Order: sequence, then structure tokens, then C-alpha cells
Amino acid sequence: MSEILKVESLTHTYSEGTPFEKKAVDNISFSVSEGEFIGLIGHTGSGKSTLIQHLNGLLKPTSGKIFVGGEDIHSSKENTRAARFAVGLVFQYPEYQLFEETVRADIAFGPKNMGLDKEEIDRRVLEAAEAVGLSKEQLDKSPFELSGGQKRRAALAGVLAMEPQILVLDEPMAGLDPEGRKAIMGYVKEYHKKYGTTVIFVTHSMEDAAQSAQRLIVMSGGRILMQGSPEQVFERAEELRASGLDTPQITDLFTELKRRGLDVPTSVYTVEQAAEYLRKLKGGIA
Amino acid sequence: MIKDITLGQYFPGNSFIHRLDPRIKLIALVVFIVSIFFAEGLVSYGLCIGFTVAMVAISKIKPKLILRSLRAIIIIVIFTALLNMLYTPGKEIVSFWIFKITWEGIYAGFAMAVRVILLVTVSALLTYTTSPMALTDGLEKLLLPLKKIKIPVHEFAMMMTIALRFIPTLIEETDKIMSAQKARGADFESGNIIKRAKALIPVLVPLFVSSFRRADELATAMECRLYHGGSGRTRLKSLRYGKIDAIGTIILVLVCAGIIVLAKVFGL
Ligand SMILES: Nc1ncnc2c1ncn2[C@@H]1O[C@H](COP(=O)(O)OP(=O)(O)O)[C@@H](O)[C@H]1O
Ligand SMILES: [Mg+2]
Repeated sequence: MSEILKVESLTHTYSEGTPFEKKAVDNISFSVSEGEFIGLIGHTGSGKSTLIQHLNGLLKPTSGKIFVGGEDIHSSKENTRAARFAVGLVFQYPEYQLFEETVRADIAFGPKNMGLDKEEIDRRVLEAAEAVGLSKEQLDKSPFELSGGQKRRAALAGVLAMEPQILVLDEPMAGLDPEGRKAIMGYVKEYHKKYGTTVIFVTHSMEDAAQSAQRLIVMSGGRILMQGSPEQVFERAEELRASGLDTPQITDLFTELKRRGLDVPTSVYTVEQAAEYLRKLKGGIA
Repeated sequence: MIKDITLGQYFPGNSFIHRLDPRIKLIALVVFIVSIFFAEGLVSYGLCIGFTVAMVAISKIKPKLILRSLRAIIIIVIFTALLNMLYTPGKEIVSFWIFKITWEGIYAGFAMAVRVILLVTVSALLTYTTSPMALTDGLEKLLLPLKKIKIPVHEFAMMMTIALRFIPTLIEETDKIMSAQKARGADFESGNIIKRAKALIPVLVPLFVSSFRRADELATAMECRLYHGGSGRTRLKSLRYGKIDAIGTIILVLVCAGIIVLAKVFGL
């Protein structure tokens, strides 16, 4: 598949030249193919949020380049603006950005800024609202009347309505109850399946990343620690734990089983996989 | 980024000046500034300058930082110096149009410039070496007598403390919300004034909402810890007049008395 995003030796230093200087992203390179679902993982402070704010040109690299659809996003003003719309960025706690009188108007804010006509805006608002499970009645409510989880979904819809080619979500499930977490995860997965949009899903939870991502990029201290398929990454559970990340409980269980002499792979990361292996194992014995 | 503006200018340290009681520093600031305005001759000015330079050196604050705070007032300094130079009567050097430049004028101009520069330097030194919290604490203690005439000193001090505490938080939040709206295509940089003011609505509304929420949370948290105003409250770090404060006071009294005596008695 064709490459839609490329990051080339990206470095970002905050407050350069002051005593508060901090290198948050350190010489990072990676690329993303169209339609991929990427999990970007790292402990708090590893530079995830800083990195993704470069993808749509909100932050300027201290050094390095970013290509979206083959174009260097800082080569011209038009390219920067194009990247703003091509890469839809949902910030952490996006519900704090809601400001309009109605949910409908708030979702329409992005498309309006894109200069679309009214019909197109209406279509997109409805489609985005549906994609996150907001009802028609909820669209005409004030965003401040919604529950926490609904607010989060409304904010998510505000970015979906821009129909970005790449959807970047910064810890979209932080601070929600299990129900809300499941809902968000479900809507994102469904959206990915339905529209084939490239998704970069930022989280510090391995459990969440393991559930959905086809490829994982693990960050630590502003650098990429490892990347690859979930199996390849969870194979190196020790390293992950050393860098301050939790591994899925089921992976921990299988690591322990292996240590106790059972012949199981340690790269298992979902309960379904685990059940299958165990069934196979049982079949072998019987 | 907005965040780069330094508001709380405090630079933590452990120098003699840093460790002085904030009350002493506040009083010293006032007393020294008054003394500066007593100075007359080169000797008394020299003493003022020397004392200021010594304080900066002791505080280990980088001179670059002091210069930075002076940059903001350079126009005022030049302007007042020029006015003094042009309007002081005395022995004429040159004259043109309605202006006369006199020896006395040049001296008065320089003297005024030195006074303003010293004044700003010592004030900057106070904020650089005293944490905002210590400063409000000191201020509250000093103004406590005003309570007698029913001025709610403690409440004002608490308001100031809370405001200072939340300024960085608010700035950070503004930054975040602006980024989030930019990600949705908001444009804060182009267009005329009206358009730009309108563009701020998506930032201001969330900011207000979260400020009220924060205020509410803080009020609840304070109530949960049985906050009930100033009466009977003790402090974690109570201000205590210690040995270094005594030393500081003595030095200050000597220097200021020196300046005044030199200027007023000996005319130096
Ligand atoms: N605006 C900022 N100014 C200065 N330092 C920052 C700023 N934002 C983040 N940092 C620092 O950069 C590092 C990476 O932060 P961040 O990208 O937010 O990490 P993550 O999203 O992985 O938690 C942290 O050490 C953080 O303190
Ligand atoms: Mg983050």
C-alpha cells in the first residue's frame, strides 16, 4: 500500500536556549501506509503528544521533516494548511474544546473552517454524529448538557466531520469509565473499518493498543524503542516493562506459564488468542 | 508560544538575598528607594550603585536577566533624562531654538537615569529572589495592621496567592485549547481586528468554563480542609526573624544612613 505519512529524523526541543530546555522528541523516523491502524505507545512524558502535534503542523520541528501524501508540510504555507486538514488530530481530553451553543454547531466548526458549503457541512455533521453514536436529539442540545462520555464523542465527531485522511487520537480513552472506554474504542475501530482511514492511536496502555492496532510504535524518552506487529512487540515484554509500560495481563500469564515449563508462546496478547493456544495445547495432550 | 512569557519571575536559589525574610526584603526595597532619592553628590550615588551591584552579585542572579528587565523601561529612562537635561537652569553649554543644555542639566539627567535604573534593578531583584508565595505572605504580614480599619488583608492575600498559583495553569490551558481549535482549522493569525476577536470565542468559552469548574473544585477542596478565613490559621512555613535577617537589617541601615548622611550633611 502507498505511503501516506513519513517522519524523517524529527527532533523537537522545548524552550531551546533557556534553562528549561527539554528535548521531547529525539531523532524519530517512521512511515505509515494508507489505511494502517497504528498504536503509538509510551509512558507518560515519552514525547507522544509532542510528536503527533508535528503531524498536522501545529508544532514546528527543531529539525527534521514531515511528509503527508509525499509533500513536505513545511515547504509552503499552503502545504501546512493542507496538512492541518489532512491530519485530523483529536487532543487529549478533547471535550474541553467544546464551545458552541449546540453540539451540531460544534461539530460543524471544523468543516466550516474548511470553507465547505452548507449542504456538505450538514451531511458531514450527521455522518460524524452517527459514527460516534450521537442521536439527532443530542445534536440540538448544548454540549455542556451531555455526560462526560458523550462530550468526548461529540468532540471526536468534530474532527471526524473534517474527514481527515489520517486520524490521530491522543489518549482518547483517558479518564473514562470502562463503559465509555469500550464505546470509544468500538467507534474508532468501526470508523476505521468503514472508511479505511489511516488511524494513529496514542495510548500508554498496552492493553488498549493490543486490542486494535496492526502495528505498534513504542516510544521511550523521546525515541522509538521498538516497532512492529503486536506479536513482535510483546515478545519483548521484559524490555517493555523496563521502560515503564505495562504488558497485557494475558501476556504476563503466558510468560509465567512458559517460565513454569509449559510450551506456550509469550507473544500472546488477547484472551481469544490465549484460549485458542490453550485449546490446541489441550488437544495435543488428549 | 504564549508559555514562553515569564510571569512568575522567580529564580530559585540559596543566596543570602534569597534566604532573607520577605518582610525584610519588602521594607528594604522601600527604604533603599527612598534613600536613592536623597542621594546628591557623586559619592552618595556611587554608594547607591555599589550597594545595588553588590546585592545583584550576592544573589547570583545573572546580570543578563537584570538587563532584560531594564530593556522594558529604556525609553522612559531616556525620555526623563532628556527632559531633565533640557529644562534644568544653570551654566549654559549650547542652546538651540527654545532649548538650553546646561552642565546642571546633564548632571540632573544622568542622576535621574541612574535613579530609575537602580529603582527597577532592586525591584526586579526582589521578584527574582522571592517566590510569589513568600512575597504575598510577607505582604500580608506587613499589612496586617490595616485589619484594624476593616480591610480584609488576609482575603486579599489569599486571592493574590490563588491568582498567582493559577496564572501558569491558565496559560498552559489557553495554549492547549488554542492548539485544539487550530487542529480544527481555526485561524488566529489572519484577518482584521474584528475577525481576530471573533476567532477568540472558541478559545475564551472553554477557558471560562474550565476556570469556573476549577474555582468550584478549589472552593470545595478548601472547604473540605475546613478553610474558614484567616483567623486562627497557622502556617507551614512561618516567617521568623532570624540571624541573617538581623545582619541584613544592619547592613541596610548602615548603607541607607550612609547615603543620607553623605548627601545631606556633607553634600557629597
Ligand atoms: N509545552 C511544553 N513546554 C515544555 N515542555 C513540554 C511541553 N509539553 C511537553 N513538554 C515536556 O516534553 C516531554 C514530553 O511530553 P509529551 O509529549 O506531552 O509526552 P506524552 O504525551 O508522551 O506524555 C515531557 O517531559 C514534558 O514535560
Ligand atoms: Mg500526552
